[in-house]
Amino acid sequence: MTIPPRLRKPMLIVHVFSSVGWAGAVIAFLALALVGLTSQDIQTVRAVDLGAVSITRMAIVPLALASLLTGVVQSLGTRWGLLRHYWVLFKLLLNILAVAIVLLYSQTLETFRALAVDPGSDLGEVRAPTFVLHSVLALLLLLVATVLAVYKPRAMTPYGHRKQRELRRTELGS
Amino acid sequence: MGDPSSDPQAAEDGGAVPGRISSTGTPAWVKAFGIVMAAVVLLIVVMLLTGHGPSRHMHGGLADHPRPSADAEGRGHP
Repeated sequence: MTIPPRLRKPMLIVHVFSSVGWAGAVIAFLALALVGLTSQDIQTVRAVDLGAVSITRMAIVPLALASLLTGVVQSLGTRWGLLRHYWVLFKLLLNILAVAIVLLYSQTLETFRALAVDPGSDLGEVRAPTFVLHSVLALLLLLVATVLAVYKPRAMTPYGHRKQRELRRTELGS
Repeated sequence: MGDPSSDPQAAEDGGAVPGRISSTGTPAWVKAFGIVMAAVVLLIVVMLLTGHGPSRHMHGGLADHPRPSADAEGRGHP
């Protein structure tokens, strides 16, 4: 079932907005992470840890899920399909991988949240270099997905070739 | 049959046309991309199985600083 033309652009807007918003939230996370990495004030670093948890829960996770969901709907509702073109398939896999990592990373965030509110923890324990590493990796992943989305390199999957042959047979027969 | 290049959806998408037939065989970029993705996923799985998790990001581990009690959280939370 294809998306009606009048809904196609609004759906695309939602997908692009959530995807770009996701990248923006990761950039905000990275900015906080850099502050946490360089500050010598333990209260600042504690605040960074708590802020990182909030950004993840309230922005990164919802936007990542929205990007994934709208991307799937967009693919299934257009002739691109979800599995017919390698660029769509790879974008889907990258999105699923990124969402899985974000959800798994919540455990790490919870650990640092607990340390941040523990008055007995010291600067070395609350400082989280992992925040910088993971946010940079996330941005790289999102950049690759963006490049795929813009360039849409041509290559159909075997499934896509089969569907295309069926479509042409149907069109020739009609 | 409509010309795929005049497909309005293709114009909206602004990129390669979904209807055009691409050459058979898997392009090199697909193979390279697939290999890199498989390696990344494998690396992540290995790291998870070998204990890459919250405890590796801490100097002392939670054992040195047990989770705070509810009272401590209330006082310490900004």
